[in-house]
Amino acid sequence: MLKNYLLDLHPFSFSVKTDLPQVIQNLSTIYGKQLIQNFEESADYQLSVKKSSGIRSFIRPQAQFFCDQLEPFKPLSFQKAYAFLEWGMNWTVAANELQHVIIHSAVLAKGNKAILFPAPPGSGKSTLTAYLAHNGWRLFSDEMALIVPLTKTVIPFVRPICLKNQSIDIAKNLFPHGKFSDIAKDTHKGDVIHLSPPELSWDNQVTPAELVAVVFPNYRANQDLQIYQLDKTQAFMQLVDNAINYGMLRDVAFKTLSNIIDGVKTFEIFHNNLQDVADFLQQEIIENA
Amino acid sequence: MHDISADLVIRVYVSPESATKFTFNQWQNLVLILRHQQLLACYSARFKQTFFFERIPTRIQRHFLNADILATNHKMQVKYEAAELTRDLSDQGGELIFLKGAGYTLANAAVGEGRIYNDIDLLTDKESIEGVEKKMRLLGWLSQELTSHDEKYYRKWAHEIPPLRHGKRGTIVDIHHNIVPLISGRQIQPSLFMQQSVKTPEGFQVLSAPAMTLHSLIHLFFNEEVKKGYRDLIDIHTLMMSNNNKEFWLGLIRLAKETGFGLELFLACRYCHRFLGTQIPDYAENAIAQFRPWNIAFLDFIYTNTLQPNHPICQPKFFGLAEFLVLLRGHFQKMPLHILIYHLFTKSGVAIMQMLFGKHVFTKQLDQP
Repeated sequence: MLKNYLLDLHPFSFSVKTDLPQVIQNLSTIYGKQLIQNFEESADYQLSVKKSSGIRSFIRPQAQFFCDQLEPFKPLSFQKAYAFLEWGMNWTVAANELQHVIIHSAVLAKGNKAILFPAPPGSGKSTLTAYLAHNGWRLFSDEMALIVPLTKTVIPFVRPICLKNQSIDIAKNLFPHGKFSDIAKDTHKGDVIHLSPPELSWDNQVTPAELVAVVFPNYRANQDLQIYQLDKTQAFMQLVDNAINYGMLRDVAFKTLSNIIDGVKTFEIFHNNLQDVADFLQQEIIENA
Repeated sequence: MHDISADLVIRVYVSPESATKFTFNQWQNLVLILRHQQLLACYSARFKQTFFFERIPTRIQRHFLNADILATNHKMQVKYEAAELTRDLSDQGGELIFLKGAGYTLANAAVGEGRIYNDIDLLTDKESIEGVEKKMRLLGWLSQELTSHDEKYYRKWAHEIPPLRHGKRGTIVDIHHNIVPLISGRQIQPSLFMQQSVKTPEGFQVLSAPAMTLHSLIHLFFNEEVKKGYRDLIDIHTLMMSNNNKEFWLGLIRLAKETGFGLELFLACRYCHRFLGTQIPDYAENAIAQFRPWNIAFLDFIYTNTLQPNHPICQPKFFGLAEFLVLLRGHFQKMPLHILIYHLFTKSGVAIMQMLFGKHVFTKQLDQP
């Protein structure tokens, strides 16, 4: 039986239909009271995660993801169904929303001062995100920074943090009381787990903040904290590369990103200690901004 | 729960005022239906024209504004691709006419406003098509993987070659050498259409308004697919209303007669008028009445059910049956019986396998998001 849920995640709402118990269970672990059951109304986007039909419903069962009537991806094995839904939500926003300049980046804030952390997979971005979120920072998003066009204002879109491979054990050790999803094994990103951010982030999920810095983090096991100031051109180009809807918003996106780069500090950091990074961010950026 | 009917969706297009008392849920459902039909930007333009846009709830406006940006981008993309194609293929000698959506946009016609494109359709003469295809492959346009049956279908029976996709930009181009499939036996002279082409101020070849309209309605009524039927009907309505003069109507009727698509013209006028209130001048209506078919009751059944907005939320009761009948009718029109049986047999074999083994049994490699 398909059950209908509402995920009211500022600034977008999703209705989720699913017949898979593990999806429901993970949703309620991760989203807690954000998840509303037996919902009959429409949301911004209607998503569903369903069992494949036919023989594939009992031999090596697969899960299919739909955004309304559209099936943007090929099915995945059952056990990845919840991660599939999370990626599907990212896809839905990336494919439809053009009211914000969207940057593939983590965003965290202290008070109303926010820092952007764009970084490629494997750079330790999500581990850093999880660490900061559990140490007094407010998580806006681990994946998508929503910037109000032509401003430095960033809008929260609070979602779980997606941790991969070795970071899974690290995170489970660091945050023994964290709300973790099941592990999705052998995805295109390796093993993947989702971690719900602490209450502070959820409680402030409609409160925007102003960007004060862009930091490109890199984890290096054998390197103590090193900080480089990035020149504006490099930083701008890196932001462009990470801006999901740059091609669609064109001049608006260009102006927004150049305005950000002009008005914030830009750093690239190499580190092997999360607390060192947290101290640097607090002392050099937040307290000086 | 679904407090919106197909009829209501149409009424909102015809007179946006009908949405004055919409609940938030009705708006959400309208957005869902329109997104599915790729009509968000089209309705958005209509709301703006009639100064209704401001009265839409802000959270709902967002969806229309998103669609506007998307449509503006598609328009730019189409103009860019068309300029590239026109330049790259200028040495091929033959005709190069932009059809359907791309044609509407390049002609700067009202019907091109707020369109979302899936592909760019080109018409060229049969003699040039081989050269065009070769040149395009050289320039990075690749054909998608096809089953051998589909490949044969295109090469032997269709009026186009398999679609080409640009390796980098992802744009898809369909190259036609005729308006209808070769195998249909309706051997119309493509030159009848080509003679009707005009050059836009920007230097693109497109069809004249009557030929553009006729092609649009042939595409809807001489076809086995009506998934986007409602959108196509709005296109035809817009083409007719934005060219509503005697020269247009007489040209359209003459061309329909010459090419043997009078029935399709009759049906287009009938359903445009019925659903969208298209005002067809009396002289045109009288002239078109000669094309009235004997089986109009049957056609009314299938088209009144399938030309309405199509989404599970608002599907008419007999939609499934009517859609199946359109499929049958379309195939019968296009193919002689022995080929039709072979084609359907191959296609249904695939469908049965998919039913048994899941939709993706023939999908070659599992892509992951």
